[in-house]
Amino acid sequence: MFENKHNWKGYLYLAPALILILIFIIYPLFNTFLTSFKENYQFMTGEYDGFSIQHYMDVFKSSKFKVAFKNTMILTIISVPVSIVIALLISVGLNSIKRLQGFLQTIFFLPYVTNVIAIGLVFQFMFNHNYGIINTVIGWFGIGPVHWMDAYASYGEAMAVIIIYSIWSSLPFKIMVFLSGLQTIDKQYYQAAQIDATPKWRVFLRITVPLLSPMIMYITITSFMGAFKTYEHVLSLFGDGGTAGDPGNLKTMVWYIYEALDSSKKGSVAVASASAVVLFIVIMIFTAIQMYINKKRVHY
Amino acid sequence: MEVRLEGLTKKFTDVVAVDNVSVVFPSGKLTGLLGPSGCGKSTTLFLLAGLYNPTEGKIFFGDEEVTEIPPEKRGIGLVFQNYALYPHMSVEKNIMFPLENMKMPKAEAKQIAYEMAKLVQIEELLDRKPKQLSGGQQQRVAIARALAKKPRVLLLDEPLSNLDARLRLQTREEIKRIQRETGITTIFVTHDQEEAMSISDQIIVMEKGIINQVDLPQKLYNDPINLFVAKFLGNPPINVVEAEIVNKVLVVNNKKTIKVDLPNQKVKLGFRPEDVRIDPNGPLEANIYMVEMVGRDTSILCTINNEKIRGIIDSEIEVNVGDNIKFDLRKQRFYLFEYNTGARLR
Amino acid sequence: MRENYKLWYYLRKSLVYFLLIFAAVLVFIPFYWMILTALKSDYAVELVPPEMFTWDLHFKNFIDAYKSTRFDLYFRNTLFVAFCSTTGTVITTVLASFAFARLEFKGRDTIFMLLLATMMIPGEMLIITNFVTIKNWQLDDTFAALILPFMTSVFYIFFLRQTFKQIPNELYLAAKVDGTSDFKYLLKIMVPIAKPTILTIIILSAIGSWNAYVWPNLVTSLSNESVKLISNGLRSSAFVDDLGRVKYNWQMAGSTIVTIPILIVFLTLKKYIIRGVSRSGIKG
Repeated sequence: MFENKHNWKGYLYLAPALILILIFIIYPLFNTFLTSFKENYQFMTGEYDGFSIQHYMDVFKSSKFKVAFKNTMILTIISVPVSIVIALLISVGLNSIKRLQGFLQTIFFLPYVTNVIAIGLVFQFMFNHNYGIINTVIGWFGIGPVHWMDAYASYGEAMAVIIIYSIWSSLPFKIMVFLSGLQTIDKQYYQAAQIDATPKWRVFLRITVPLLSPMIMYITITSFMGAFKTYEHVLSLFGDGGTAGDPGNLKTMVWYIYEALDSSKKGSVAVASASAVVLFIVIMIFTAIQMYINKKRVHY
Repeated sequence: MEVRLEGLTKKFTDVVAVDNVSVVFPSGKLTGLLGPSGCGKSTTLFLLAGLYNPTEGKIFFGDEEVTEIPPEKRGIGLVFQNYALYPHMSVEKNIMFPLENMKMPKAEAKQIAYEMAKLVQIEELLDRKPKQLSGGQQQRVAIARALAKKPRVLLLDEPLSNLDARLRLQTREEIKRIQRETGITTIFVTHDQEEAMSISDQIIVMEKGIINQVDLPQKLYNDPINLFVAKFLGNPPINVVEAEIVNKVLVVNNKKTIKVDLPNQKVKLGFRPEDVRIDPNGPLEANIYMVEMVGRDTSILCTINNEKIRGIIDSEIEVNVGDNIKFDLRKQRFYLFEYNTGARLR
Repeated sequence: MRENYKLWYYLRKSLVYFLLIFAAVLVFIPFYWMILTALKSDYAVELVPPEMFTWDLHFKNFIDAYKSTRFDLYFRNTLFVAFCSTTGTVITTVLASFAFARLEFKGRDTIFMLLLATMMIPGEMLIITNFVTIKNWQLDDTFAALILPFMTSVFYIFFLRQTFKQIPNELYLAAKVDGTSDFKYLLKIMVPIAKPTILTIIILSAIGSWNAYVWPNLVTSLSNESVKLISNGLRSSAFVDDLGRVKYNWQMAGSTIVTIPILIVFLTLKKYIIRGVSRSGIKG
């Protein structure tokens, strides 16, 4: 490497990015953690009355947080595996065809760039009890009409809408990653398998999935992270109340954080910080578990 | 199992890769498909495997026509150029994989995997992953995998091209030995004439999708059917000089040389470097422009009327750059080819 | 016998096509329903059951929906914010990536590793303090609040550094021998070579601004139209008639207006977006 005696020069190039990163990423990381322990914290003045773990106790005791935690878990545990399996099947299908491949690929990628708020309104209307396309179509098969998200909707129905919307909008990213992974797999493995009379399902399970396992692991981890942070989807579907029907409090953990942040109550920023730290830890635990499980199974 | 091609043609969108090929691969023999890259030899192999469908023509395995039968039903073993070993499976799992597809019990499959590994002499590597093996070892695993299901025909696509020079020598003997031991009809593709010559029972020389000659290795070398085959076989390659037949005498560089019993015409004269024999009374004449000492032989590079030729002579004979030499051809071994088509004149 | 093999082959292929097309239809339904509803008359939109197709298309809904809101202002605001944050992002990431890829200085690799580690942290951890920072600097309800935090990105630095690293070092050494300054080399050699990657960054960053909702919602007040972005504008637009009932065709027209521009960008520049996305992972 070329000898550069001026250390400052590197830092000069780095400075604009580094200053912004220090202010908006590094400092907040520590500060949020610190704030979560501050009692009676007032963010406008910066005053507080010492440190304690009181806010964590409050978060864990809060029934609202428990509901938010439950909602987030249900949403995550259903939508992540389902969307991964669907994306995997679509990718393998797409990879196996020639005609229409580009066209279908474009359709599957469409949801990627869409505006969550705009399409949230569309889903709202698609699942409309009277005027929606969903009830019309399932009506052809003698099912429904289902309330989905109106004032009479059950918790399960409303959750189903969120899950469907989450899967719909998360598919393209997964398909893109899987497809680019599949395209790097040497065709000869498939030819070899074909010559050895390998049944298609066995090719999928014994060759495709193992060779794709780094992508699958990557997608699994990022999808869990993403699903734990669900917020805009629920907001765009159910509005600021975050509720549908009778039992339907559908707020998620991130919602809980923003709600705390938004309230004008004294010390609420600290509560928000504590709940953000809790979310962070939950995500970390899940990621660690997955990495541990995957370590033995992933082929690099 | 004898393999037979009848009028086999494969057209891709704008090229004819294999053009009306009819040939027989004899049962229990090792046949080399030889030709420069792009001559259609790999396409022919993939047609045999069923990975490509022919545009026209038929393929027979024994009496059974397999043209329309998908690869998995043909009972073939195929060794790919890059081996295509499943990277996530151990050597043993790789060899067992085709057997498990046949729903063979695990214990039996394991037993066969071991036998195959022993045949190719890698039995101590069964637990390794392909990544932990050398190129030559991977090659053997690929052969073991292809042989495990007892295929009717074994196909090898450029089996030695990914190995270094030393391993290549060793592996080609190994392939020959395995083929002899199993007695399986084997077809392999190569662009390396030396490789084909050294192990094949029969060689098929292809060029531009067409078969030029099918023969025993030595026969191809000694009795090429046309200029292409003559040029393709042999290293250093054959010398080719323009000449003319005038009144039953071959005229080279305006000098009468050898008597030939052919009508008057322009021809190309071919002779092998090792047949050059310096002789003051010899009919041919050349000017030396470079001398290379290579061990026990001396290689002389000369020009005959601006055409470059090479001769390999005994190193005892003293020659110098700039010398005009006269030479003869051993055993009168030379070949005449039609000037335009390159067809052999006899 | 041999006909059977072909039959099975075609059956299987047909099944794959059938399932793929079926899935594609499902994926496409929201777009179809959005555009169809946006074009329906006030009467048709309230039919039970709704029509699945109609020739009675009311393109005027788009104009009415557009006029019923301050979309013109939201568009302008969004474009301004997108332009500023994208420009800022490109400048900061190009400079930083160059430093990481080509310059030698103390602590370079340590800093880089630290930055990479921050990619693991959920944004919600950071938003709280950033919110406080913006309030304390009294930047709430200003464009600065919407732009400043998005003027750089660790992921893009990482992404661009990879591209820069692939450029042979000999080019740099050759430029040094010719007496080219670092900055000129970056501008005249590195940036042109890395143009596709930079274009990917520009597109993804602009799309990010277009779809931003949570942060703008936090640092601007609902009543302040002058800094409102398109997503927030769409959400706060009522689309109601004189009686206060929701006009779904207007609402869908509004959604279409917000969705279409970005779909056009996506379709024209698809390969750059896919390149960036499948190279690593950022969710827009």
